[in-house]
Order: sequence, then structure tokens, then C-alpha cells
Amino acid sequence: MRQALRWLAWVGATVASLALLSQPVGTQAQLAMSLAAMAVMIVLWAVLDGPRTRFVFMALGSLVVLRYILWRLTNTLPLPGDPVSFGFGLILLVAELYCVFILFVSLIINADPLRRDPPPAAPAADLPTVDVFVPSYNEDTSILAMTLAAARQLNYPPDKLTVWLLDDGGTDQKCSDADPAKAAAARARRGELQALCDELGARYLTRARNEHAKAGNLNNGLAQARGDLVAVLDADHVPFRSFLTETVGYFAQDPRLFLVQTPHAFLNPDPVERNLRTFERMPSENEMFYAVTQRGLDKWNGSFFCGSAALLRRTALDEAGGFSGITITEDCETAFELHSRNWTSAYVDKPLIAGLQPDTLADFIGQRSRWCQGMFQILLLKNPVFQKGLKPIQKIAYLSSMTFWFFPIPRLIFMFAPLLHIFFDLKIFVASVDESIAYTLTYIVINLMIQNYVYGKFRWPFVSELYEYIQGVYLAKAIVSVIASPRKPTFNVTNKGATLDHDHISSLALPFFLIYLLLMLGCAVAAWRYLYEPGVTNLMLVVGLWNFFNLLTAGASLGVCAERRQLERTPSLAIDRRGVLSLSGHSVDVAIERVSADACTLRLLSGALDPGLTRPPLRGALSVEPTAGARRAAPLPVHLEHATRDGPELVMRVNFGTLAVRDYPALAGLMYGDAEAMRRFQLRRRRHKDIPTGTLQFAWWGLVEPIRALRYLLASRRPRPVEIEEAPVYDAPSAAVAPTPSVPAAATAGAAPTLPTAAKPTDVESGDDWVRLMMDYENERTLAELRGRRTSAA
Amino acid sequence: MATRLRLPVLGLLVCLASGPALGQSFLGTGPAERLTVPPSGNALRAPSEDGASPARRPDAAAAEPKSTPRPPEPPRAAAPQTVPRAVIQSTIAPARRLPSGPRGFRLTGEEDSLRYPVYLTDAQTRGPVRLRLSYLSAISVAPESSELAAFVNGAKVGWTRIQAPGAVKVVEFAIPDGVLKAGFNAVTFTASQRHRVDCSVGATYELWTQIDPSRSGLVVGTATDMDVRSLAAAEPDESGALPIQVILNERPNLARLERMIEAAQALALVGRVARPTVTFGPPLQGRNGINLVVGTASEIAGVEGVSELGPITGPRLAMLPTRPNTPPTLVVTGARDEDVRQAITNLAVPADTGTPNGLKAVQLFRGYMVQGGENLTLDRLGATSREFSGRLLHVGFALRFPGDFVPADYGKVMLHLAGAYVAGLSSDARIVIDINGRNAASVPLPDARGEVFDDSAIPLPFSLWRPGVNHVEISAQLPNAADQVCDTLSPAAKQARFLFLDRSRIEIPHFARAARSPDLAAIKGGAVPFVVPGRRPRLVLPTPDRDSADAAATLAARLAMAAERVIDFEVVTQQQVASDTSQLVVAPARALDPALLEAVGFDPQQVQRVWEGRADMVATPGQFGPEGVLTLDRLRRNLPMRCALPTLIPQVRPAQPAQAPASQSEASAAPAPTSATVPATAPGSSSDRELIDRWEASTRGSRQIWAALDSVWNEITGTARSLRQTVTAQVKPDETVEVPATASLLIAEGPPVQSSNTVIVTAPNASLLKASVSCLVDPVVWARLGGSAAFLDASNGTLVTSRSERIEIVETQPRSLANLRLVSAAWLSINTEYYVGMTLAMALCLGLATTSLVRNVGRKNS
Repeated sequence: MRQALRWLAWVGATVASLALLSQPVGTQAQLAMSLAAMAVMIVLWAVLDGPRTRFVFMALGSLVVLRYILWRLTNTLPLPGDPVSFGFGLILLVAELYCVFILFVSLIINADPLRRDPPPAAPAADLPTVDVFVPSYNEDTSILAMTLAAARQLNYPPDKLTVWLLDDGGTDQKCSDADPAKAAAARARRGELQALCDELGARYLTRARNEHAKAGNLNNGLAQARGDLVAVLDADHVPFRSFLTETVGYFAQDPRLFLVQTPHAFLNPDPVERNLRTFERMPSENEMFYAVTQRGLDKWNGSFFCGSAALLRRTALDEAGGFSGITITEDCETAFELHSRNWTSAYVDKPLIAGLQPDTLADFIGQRSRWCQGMFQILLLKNPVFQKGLKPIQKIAYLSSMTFWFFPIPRLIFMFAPLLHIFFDLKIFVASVDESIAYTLTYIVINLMIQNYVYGKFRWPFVSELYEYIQGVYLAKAIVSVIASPRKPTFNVTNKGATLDHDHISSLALPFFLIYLLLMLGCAVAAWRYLYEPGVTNLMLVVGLWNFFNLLTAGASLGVCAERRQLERTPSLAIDRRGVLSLSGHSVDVAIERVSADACTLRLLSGALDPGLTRPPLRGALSVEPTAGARRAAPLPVHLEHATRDGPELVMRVNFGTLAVRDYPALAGLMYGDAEAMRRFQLRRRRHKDIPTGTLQFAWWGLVEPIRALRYLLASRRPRPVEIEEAPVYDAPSAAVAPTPSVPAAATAGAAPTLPTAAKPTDVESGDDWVRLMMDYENERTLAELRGRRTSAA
Repeated sequence: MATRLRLPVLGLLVCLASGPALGQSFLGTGPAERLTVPPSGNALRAPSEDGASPARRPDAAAAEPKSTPRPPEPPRAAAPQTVPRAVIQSTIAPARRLPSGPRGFRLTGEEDSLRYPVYLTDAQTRGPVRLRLSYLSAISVAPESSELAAFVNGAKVGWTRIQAPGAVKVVEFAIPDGVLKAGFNAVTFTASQRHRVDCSVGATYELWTQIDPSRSGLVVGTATDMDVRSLAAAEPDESGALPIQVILNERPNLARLERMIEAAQALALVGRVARPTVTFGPPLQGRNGINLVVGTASEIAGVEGVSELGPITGPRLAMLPTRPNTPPTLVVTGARDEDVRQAITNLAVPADTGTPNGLKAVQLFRGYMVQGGENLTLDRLGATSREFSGRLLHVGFALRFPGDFVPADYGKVMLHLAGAYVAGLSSDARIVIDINGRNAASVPLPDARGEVFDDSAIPLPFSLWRPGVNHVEISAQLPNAADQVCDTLSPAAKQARFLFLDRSRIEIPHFARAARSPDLAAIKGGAVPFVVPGRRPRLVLPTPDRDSADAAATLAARLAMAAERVIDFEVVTQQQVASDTSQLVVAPARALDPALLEAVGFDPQQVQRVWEGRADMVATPGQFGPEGVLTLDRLRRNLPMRCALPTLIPQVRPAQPAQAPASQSEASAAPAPTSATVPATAPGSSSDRELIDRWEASTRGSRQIWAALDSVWNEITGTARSLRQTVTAQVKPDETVEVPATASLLIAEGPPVQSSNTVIVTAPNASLLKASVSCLVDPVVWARLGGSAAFLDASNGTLVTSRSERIEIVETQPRSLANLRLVSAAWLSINTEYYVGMTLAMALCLGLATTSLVRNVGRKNS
């Protein structure tokens, strides 16, 4: 009853608002309304907080947007008498309608993102058995070793945890490939991975034929495995130790729960983040999806499977006949099937895995093409609107996730629409300048405000547009092809871990350069026409500014095409762990600040380390303090790379050299022991970016990045030697590890030249500097200690 | 007539004086540029004028071609006239004049045209017919490249070079047989004018040709065969107004006065004239206007000629047999009062006959009536496709919006222009759209290579339009480099620069239909408050002297034209501050209840002060009387013809020797507040007071019980309105409006009380009231009426309007969702703060409703 009243109140308020908005009031009234709404929104934003404020804020914004779109629909279309303008005008209108549709659908879905409490802990005996599936196709052994090792170390009763490597790169089909080289490689891969699994305690599984791609591979795993739950981890998605403890409990709470999805968190930047250098500052593109949208979907029992970092209930999968494989996005399709069979899903907003993103623009586009095409396949082959068993809100949820992928088309329309007026004088948007200000400008600002209010912590202003444009240029083609033949697209495994050893222009850059030049020409023509051509009105100014904004977007995207070299060979993660570093027989407590698959950064905590021992490349061992409940792993072999002074403390970088398989559990324990590390990293980036600074940042990219792109382009014309960034690591004989106690500082300093310092020719500090540095360091530390004592005594 | 007698002599004199160069000019030379059409008094002085001072001769000549509107036939002048009349008529025959319309009589700019519908009876179309055109032109008009052409029913009947900068020039064109048809015919004048020396766009505004309406028209015989179906053949006077003389043969009583005013309204409707002038008095003489006899058989028994109608048993409309030198006389009668009413109803059914061109001219004359939801090509609005070689092309047309059109920014009329322009225009070439003289849009003609455009859409927001006639002018400013040199003789000057296509369209979407109140525009455009169904509106005449009654009847007739139906006024004498029905109060300022003035927002003391000096004056009879003056200067200034004030002299109570000759002659003709209302029967017998008493007495009996059916809507809006008034009253106290010192008339509408409106029309004194109303109803002046109060300086037709802070919207249409939406949109557009407030409130409600809903659907947030 009360619920019915609430519905009645809401429907009443909505109808009344629509009735008011449908009034064709004058431009002045509209401007006053929009500005008042904007002012109230700013006040609400600044002063109040809480769910009521949030909804009033969004209602205000929605009313302005609705008013705009009603006006746009009724007043701004060119006359059908001019078919060219009318046609283009209609296209632009449809693109805008799409954007408004997406906005409103996203507002509905994200009305009240769900915050979940951690699941209750269950006694070990009651825990279900879990199979961890790591499907692989072509990933490196080192990547798989880390994933499998980390999976084996998950905080879960070992007898209830089985880790499966589902290898599609070593299938019988591959091993008997017509190409002998390929067949040999597949066989070698199979052998190598079998050995890896044996050593790490995982189970290797492959199959006869590569049918149905990833879904088929997973279903093959299902056929072999017997666990109650299935955790799916992509080969590069390394789970943190707490992955299962944070998720398994939900299955006990809800017997109809088929899925617990966790976010995909990444250790490395995608091409946009790397090339615009935002990885450390700006939340990743997918964080908006994982931190807001999936939580929003979760409220409506609509969060869906994203292919990895999720747990699924086996009985549910069995009921649906395993993972669905009709489309190339088997994950969403599987969730879709199960949702319509009245199973429920849950989403845990806590990064519990750390994965890799495609490094190059080409790989990135390839990955997105797959997602885009897959979502369209579902839309076309299993339209959620007609799917039985789904609740209306779930239909909207799936529809929004699928129609979202239409974005390339409207984005490209917005990019090119102003050119029609600038070059051909087409008037595809009939409005006076007054009206444009009262309706369009306020709409744009309010739209930005809504986006910034809802997603401000997760998405900088205009970054969505940038991502959309970059993908749009290539995805538009993908959309056309999938719509033309929905069953055609095939699963392409995204390439990850590619190396970028020098700055260069992406192979996909050509269209971006062409579009940039076209838009630049458009700006020039617009400016010329506005300034010198008689009879050209302020409309040209407005259109010119629009085109200029597009030019900035295109400029920033040129920056994305200008691939920076990768500074880290393997991505690192900031952690906060303790350990003991044994170096030349000395053992010191260290804080481990940052770790990658190759190396880690240590900070000396206390005690004097004999300065001589910090001479690289000494070999030592790093014994890591285990996280609570974990077993102490074997010490990791390390080489000192270099050390620097940071105030009174010493910061050392050590690398692991070539790790043996047996070392991976230790490394995995170090790097993936504490999921908080990933969370801290993400939270650090999630600072609200307001519209003015975001706009300035975007404009800066738009202006500066094309210059960098041009520089790369010119540089790539000249043949140049491949610059070797990192010298090969010299693995000193193991004898060097032997403790050399109480070597006097001076002696070490004297001994230094005998060591092959030439191995690090790119080191900024020469040997002499190093010695002096160490001396200074020691002196200062002593003095500091004296001072410290004095102050503490006083 | 006495004046005709003198004509040959005068004509000769003028010709000699003006010399051969101005051979065709009749006027304009001589010491005075006065082209007086002598009002009635003039004729009476005829004997003294026989000695014709040189100064007056041109005047007399000017006045000559048509007979003056209402000189009483002086019997003594009749005898000597008979012989010379034939002679005179062979020289200059009287013409059937053109009616005045909202565009007046001026052709301006490089190209312009004026079109008049002229109703002719069958008899008038027979025989040789000529079109006479008298005009005066600007000095800047170059005769060698400027011409004036005349068309009748679309057929060109002649043209002339425009060359009358110094004096009115008269030309006549023969109209071929068969061109004119019985019924409405269209007479069109087009002018193509070029400047003598200046080729700039600005200079084109110096170009004008003024048609002198008093000396122009169709030279046809009088409508001897006029009957009740061809009343539109009644001829306008020299100003283009149709004089309607309501013949009084006995004391009026209010019921009969009501009838008379109704009949006058009906006649105005049938005649389809834009400009009626109603007067009460003895029958008119001459050929202009129409005499109207209204009353039951017994009431009209005394009127001359009525006896010939035979016994009157039921509703009866009849024309009295025409007699020479008298306009037609219409009798509206019946056995009883109800029969008279029925007869009036029968009268008010206009039947349109005429040529297609003529009927179109009728339709367009007062503006094409639009109701919303129309898509009209401009050729339907009278525009024609043309190539244009000048630098400023005007294409004008008029649209008449209903009186309950709500002007606000909630929609727009779209003009879709089709046309072309040539290469080489200057960069500032543009098309400018003006609505009612206010700039509405400006579209550049940007392409240096020229362009053919088929559908250049130009929005014209509703806020620029007004109820009633709206004049839209499309001006193409087409300067080019050659204009700098300005070689008017080069062949390039004849090259077309612009092509206007009459398939250009105007698209009028549905607009809100509701009366804004107070808004005089709604009154001038549709007499809105007086036509709402329900109670009868009142016409309040606190001092029913003849001048006031004339003014009231003229206004009523004009309002009937606006409403396009007879308004059932209840004529009363009591003033009520808050009436229960809409009332139109017509009275001199002194007679007004001060509380009434206050109610419409004036300070009675201020009004008193401003008009104190003129209150006790009376109009001199004579040439500068209220009927207007016609001088070259006034023609040049394009002043509305009737907008001239009589010379005032202090009022003299008893008849005095100095006044005697005048009062003797004007007993029946000139407006004379002091004289009897019914001069024929009771000269000087009844004073104002007596009249008031008597009229009041008769009114009391005719009081009706009003139906007290008030809709729920009215109650709600009433409550809301009073609520809001209490709120706004605290914010902004009502300010009184000051009457400007030059005003000779004030018309004001008070804020609506219980959805009834009070409109007061007042002037310093009765004669000024009549003269000013006569000016007010000139279509040119009338079209400018607006705001909550308007002040007219009737000496030159200047109208100052003042706007009300608060405008109510009153329902006028049957309730429909579509209209309700438009009306509320209009209201919200005007009351922006309410719109903003409502939107914010809505957002608050929606936000809170969403909060409560979202919390309770889906999974709950922990």
C-alpha cells in the first residue's frame, strides 16, 4: 500500500513535471529557468549532502535536459522541404536523443548504487569447494605462473580449492597444426605449462578442438571440475589473497545467487592513460563502470558477469548448460541467460584482482571492438526487451549496457556535424543565437554538471568524449559489420604485455591525423568566414566554437596515438609490506613500497646498513613478512639495482632477476598478499575533478598533444637505432651471495671499481658519486640520530 | 450647391496662377496651403464668400469635387444652382471615394502599392467610368523614373509620371467597359519611385506619394439603385470614413438609443468599412454616407419619406426612394421593439458579391484574418512576385489576429521566403522583417555570387504580434557598388537586383486564445470584454449629450467591426466603479465619477488639472471643426485625415449676439453641446440635466437580472487572482498613470474585477471627445492602440500607450486542452518568475518522490 502510494507520488510528480515542461514558454523564461536550476544545483552541491539532495539535484538537471530535448524535438528541425538539411538535421537529432536516452537510463540505473557489507565469515568446514579457472590462449608462462601461484595462495582451505589452467593454446588441434612451426610451438607450450602447473600445484587442462573460444574452454573446465563454485580469472588477472574470503560468503546468504562479480583493476595504464600520463592521477576508464554502474546495477539485481574476477555457482551454470557461447562476449551473455532464469547476481566493489590492460592503441581498440561487437550480438540475437523472465528494470539495465556501445556513431556525428555548416552552409539545427544560449548552452552545462556530480570522482570532464572518439573512429566500422552480419564476429584474444621500447606513432594513427587536419581546416574556414565573409552571423561563431571543441578532442586523441615508450617493463603496484632484506650477510628490516613482477622498491627502516653493502649489484634475499594467516614463503632472490637517499632514509630498488617457478608463490604472496594495496592506489586517484580544472586540463591536452604527436611523426621518419632502455641484468655468481661480514666502509668503497659497474652504463650516478653519497648519508644519519636523541631527551 | 457654382471661375483662376507647368494642378499655389474641406459651417457662410477672397479660393476649389459630407441643404442656395451644375459636372464630376484602411493613403519607398475595395451597384458600373487619382509626392521623387499606375480588378487602367511635389495633382484614367462589376471591385495603385539624386538605401525613405482621398475615387454616378443588399455601396466621405447619420426625429429613449447604436453597428458591418463615423441628427445631404432611420413604426412616423413604406407589420428593412443630392436612407423598423431587433439581426448579414479581385481586396483590406494553424502563401495575402531593380524593396501584408490572441514568447510564426538576389550586392545587403514597425528579424544576403533561395525560414516570435491588424513588412535592402556613383540614367539602374516570389509562405501555428486584461489591443482587435457570452455589456453615457452619444456610437460601431458582430450594448447612464459586467464608459472627464478614474489607475485630480483649461471650451464651428482639415502640410506629414481638433473657444452659456449667426446655422449640423440633442423637434428645449434624468429613469426599468452562473473555474481563478493581488500589492503598490498634457483623449482599461472590465473613454469636453474619437477610429490610429491606457493627441493622431504591470489572462474560448496549454505557456512566458518557481518546486517534489521510491525498491542499501 505504502509502496503504491510512493509510486503514485512519483508518477504524479513526473507527469506534472512533464506537463509543465511541455509548455512552450519563451526563450527568456527558459533562460531564467535554466539559470535558476543551475544556481540551485550549485548551492545544493556546495551546501547540502545526502540522498535527498542527490535526487533533487538530479531532478533539477533532468528537468532542464528534458526541456531542452522537447524544444529540440519540436522547434529546431530544418524543414522537410530542404531534404539535405532535414536529413542531416534528423541524424543530429537522433544522435542527441541517443545521448539523452543514455543519460536518463544511466540516471535510473545509478539512482542509488548499492553498498554491500562484507559477507559473514563461515567456518572452514562449511565453505563450498571452489574451482579456479584460468583460461589461457597465448599468454606468457611468466604471466600464467604469477596468476596460478597467486590463485594457489588464495586464503581458502587448500582442500577445497582447485586451480585449473584451461589452456587453449595447447589443444590437440593446435598441436597438430598444419604449420609445423606452430604445431611445435603449441606442443612446447603444452609441455611447459604442464610442468608449471605441476610445480605450482595447479591442474593443467586442455581439449581437443578450439571450439566456442573462451566459453568452450570454460565449459571444458566445467566438465572436468566438480567444485560448488567456479571462479574465473583471466590469465593476466592475478587474484589477491582475500579474493575468495570477500566473495564466497555471499553464496551462503542467497541460494539463488549465481554470480559474485568483483572489479577489474589494472596495474598498467591503457594507451590513453600512458600517453597522456594520467595513470597516477586519473581514475581508469573502467572505474566508472565498476565503481558506479555495477553497483548501480547491483541494486536492481542486474550486475553482470564481466568474464573474469568473478565467482559463479556451478548449479546455476549447469542449469543454463554452462557458459553461453553464441556471442563473443560470453560473460554478459551467460549472466543474461541466468538472470532471465531468475538467478541473482551480486557485485563486490572491492578490487580483488589486478590485471593488465592492452598496452598499445591497436590492442586496446581490438579489445573494445570485441566488447562492442559482442554486446551488439546479444542485442541483435537475444534482445533483452523480448527476453522472458527478466524484470523491466533488468531489461533496462541490459539494454543500457548494450545500447551504450552505439556511442561511436553519435560521437562521430558530433565531430563532423559542425563542418556541414562551416563548409556547406547547411543549417541542420534551426535556432537563433538567443535560443542556443537559453537551451543548448545551459543544457550542455547542466549535462556536464550532472555527469560531474554523479561520476566526478571517477571521470574527469570530457574524458568520456575523448575515449568515445578514440574508439569511435574504429568501432563505427565494427558496429556496421556486426549489424550487417551479427553471427560473424569471432573471438580475438586481446594481446597484453606488449613491449613499447620507444616513442612512436601508433599504426592506427592515420585517420586521427586526417580528422585533425580536417577539423583544423574547419576552424580556419570558420574563423575566416566569421571575420571576413559578409553576412556570416554569430551562428558561425557558435558552430566554430563547437568545431574548436572537437578539434581539442581530436588533438588530445593525437596524443593518445603518439605512443610513449613504456618505462616499466612490468607494471608495479604500490604496497605496504614489511620484510627482511639479507644482503651480504646483513639483515635489515625494510618496508617494501612498490613491487612488480621484476623488481621492488625498498625503504630501509632502521639500523645501520653497512654502506658497503648497498653497492649494486649485490645479490641478496628478501624475506617477506607474510600477511595475516598466510604461510611464510621462501625468501625471494634479489639483486640490488640502485639505492638513493630520500631524506634520512635510504630507498633501494632491487630486482628479482630471472625467477624460478618456485619463487613465484613468494612473489605472488608479496605482490598480491594484500588487496588493500590496489584499493589504496585506486582511491588515491579518485579525487573529485571539478569542471573548470577538468576543462583546462582537457584544453591543454588538445593544444599540446598534437605537437608531441607531430614530433613523434617527424622522428619516426628518420631511421634511428633502437635504444636499449634497460641493460641486461648481470647475474653474479651465487658465490657473491656468501656473507661478507664486517667489511669496512672504506674497503668497500675501494673495492667498488672492481665490480662491473659498466653493466649499468645508463645509471645517472657514477661510482665516485655513489661513494660520496653513501658517506654523506651515513654522516647525516648519525647526526640526525644525535639530534633525535637530544630532542627526545629534552 | 453654392460651391459648385463658383467652380469654373476658381478653376480658371488656379490654372492661371499656377502656370502651364502645373497645368494639371488644382491646388497648392496661393498664399495658403490649406485645402480645407469645409465642414458644415462653411456652406452656411456661402453668401459671404461670394466675394471670394483669393486666399479662400483654392480651398473652395479643393473642397469642390465632392460635396461636403453633411451640410444641411440650405434652401435658399438651391435655386441659383440649378443651371451651372450641369456645366460643372462636365468638368469635374464627383467621385465615389475610396475607403480608408489601416495602411492609409501613402505609397512609400521605391515600390509600393495600395489596394482598396470599392462597392458599386449595378447602375454605377454602366456607362463610362473613370478613375480619378489625386496625389502629392515628395520633392525627392524623380519624375523621369517614377511612375504611378492604377489597376482596376487587376487590369491596368493607366499610369502617370509622379510629379506633384508642390501641389496636389489630379489625373483621371478611363476604365474600359466591363472591367467593373456590381459588388466589390479592387482599385489598386502601384508606385515605382526613384530618388532624384541619392541612391542610398536611406534615401528611399524620402520617397512617398500621398493620395488625397478627398479628391480620388471612381467617377461614377450615385447609387440610385441601392437596396438593402447593396448597402456597401454607401459612399465614404473625403477622409474615407463612412458617415452613418442616425436620424433623430424625437426625444431619444434609452431603449431606442440602444437599437440605434445596434443598427449603426450592423450597418458598419454590412458596409465592411474600416472606419465608420456615427452621428445623430437630421438627414445627411450630398452623396456620402448613409442615413439611418431606426425605431418602431410609431417612433419613426415623423421621418420624411417613411410614410411611403406603407404599413409596417413585422421586421422591416427598407431603403427610402433615393432623392437627388441625398445619400441613401435605410429604414430599420418593425411593429414592435422585438421586430426592430429582428430587423437589425437581418441587416447584419453581409453578402459578398463582386469580382474575385474585389472580394480579395475586401478580405485583405483590414488584414487577412488568421485563426492559428494556417499556412498561407503570400500571394493569398496580396503580395505579388516581382523583379526589383531598386535598392530597398518593401513587400508588405497585413494579418489580423483575433482579439483574444495572446502575444507572448511561446511560439513563432515562420516566414518562408522564396526569391533570389543577384551577384554584386554590398556586404550589408539584407532582408529585414518589421512587424508593426518593430524590427523582428534580419537575414543577411551573404553570397557575393548571388543566390536563389527557396525556403529561407525566418522566425517571427508571437511576442511581436498583437491582436487585431498586424502589418508585416519584408524589406530587402539591396545596396550595391553602383549606388555610390548614383547614375540614375545608366541602363544598369534598371537591372534587377532582387526577385521576390509570392510562393513565399507564412506559417502561423496555433496560438493561445485568451484575453489579456487590461489590454486595449484585445479591445481594438476583437472588442473582447464586450463579446464574452453571458451578461450584456454596458455602454455608460453619464452625460448623453449629442457629442458624447456620437462618440459612443462611433466607438460602438468600430468595436462591432473589430468583433465582427453586433455588440449587444445595454445603454445606461449610471457609473459603477465595480460593475458586474464589462462596461464602456464614454464621457467628458468632468462627468466621470472620480472613483471610476481611480479604478482604472488614474488620479482624478491630475486628470482634472491637465484638462482644466480645455474643459469649458467649446468647438468653434467652422472650417477647422472636428471633421478635420486637409492641407498640403497635413498631406505631406501623412496625418490621419480626421485627426484635427476644432478650435476651442470659451463656452458661452446663453445664446449671445456674437454667437447668434453660428448657432442659427449650426442648429442642426455642427456639434453643439449647448444645443438640443434633437434639433429638428426640440431646439434648445432640453438641458443635459434633464436628459440625464430622463435617461436614467428609463434605464432603471430596463435593468435585467443577471444570470448568476459562475463556473468553478472562475471561482478558482478569482480566488487565485485575489490571493496574488494581495501578494503583489504588498510588493508593488499600484502606481497611477499620468495623463500627458497634449492628450485630447484618454482610453483606459481597468484591471478586471470578477472577469468584467471597465473601459473608459474620456476627453476634456464633449466636443473634444467626439473629435478625438473620430480620430481614434481612423484605422491607422486604431491599429496602434494597445497597453492598458492610451492617450491620443487628436490634433495629429499621436498615440501614447502605457502598459500595465500586471496583466491577467481571461478565458474567452471553450475550454480545450490544446488551448489551455498554449494559454498557460503564454502566461508562464509572461510571468517568468512563476515558471521558474514552479519548475524548481516540481524538481523538489520529483526529487523527494524519487528518494522515497528508490529507497524502497530494488535492493536496499545497508
